[in-house]
Amino acid sequence: MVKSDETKLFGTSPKNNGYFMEVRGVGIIDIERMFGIQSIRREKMIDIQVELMQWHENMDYERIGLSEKMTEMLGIKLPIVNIPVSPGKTVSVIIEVIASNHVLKLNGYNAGQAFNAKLLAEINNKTRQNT
Amino acid sequence: MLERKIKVINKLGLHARPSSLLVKLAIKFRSEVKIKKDEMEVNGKSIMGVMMLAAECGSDLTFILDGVDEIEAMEQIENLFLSKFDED
Repeated sequence: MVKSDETKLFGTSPKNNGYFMEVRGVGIIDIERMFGIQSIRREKMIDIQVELMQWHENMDYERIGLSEKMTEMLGIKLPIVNIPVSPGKTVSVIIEVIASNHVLKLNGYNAGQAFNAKLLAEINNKTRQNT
Repeated sequence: MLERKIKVINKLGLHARPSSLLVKLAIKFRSEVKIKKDEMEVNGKSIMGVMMLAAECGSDLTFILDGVDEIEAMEQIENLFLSKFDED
């Protein structure tokens, strides 16, 4: 991982021996051969950190997403999302969801806030009807 | 089984933040938590369920708790409502 300037982080792949990956139970696979040139990257900008953690029943997990947790890497601040992982959860799909949601937030749309705005309007409406 | 009416007294009602506090508290207990409002009945451990109630200030919620720790759970839930979720 490297810092390009004062604001951006980049992750790079190991330069030595191509795009191999180990899948436990299968062994070494060649990502470039298997999925083609479009599925590999020498370098990629890092926008968000996703931390996969073991599911604990009594832990507090984010439920609405009104606030954003931040972390710091090499002196650069970036959002962090903690995801509890349990058997049967398709982690890759969830990470894609996190990425899309992050893009929506960058475009100024926060689903948690939007939902809450509707909810507050509904509550407000009821309060007015009662008085 | 324990049943009690609890009034919503914070000004903004059960919007997202108070709902998440309520659910976070409810899931700490082993008891089943049901919340009734008018004809609606929801699971007190489900955030979408609790928010669906759209409970406004002044409305009454009936909490139905069932389980080994129902007494303690009811007490803490009631205190959370009394604290107005630290809002007003």
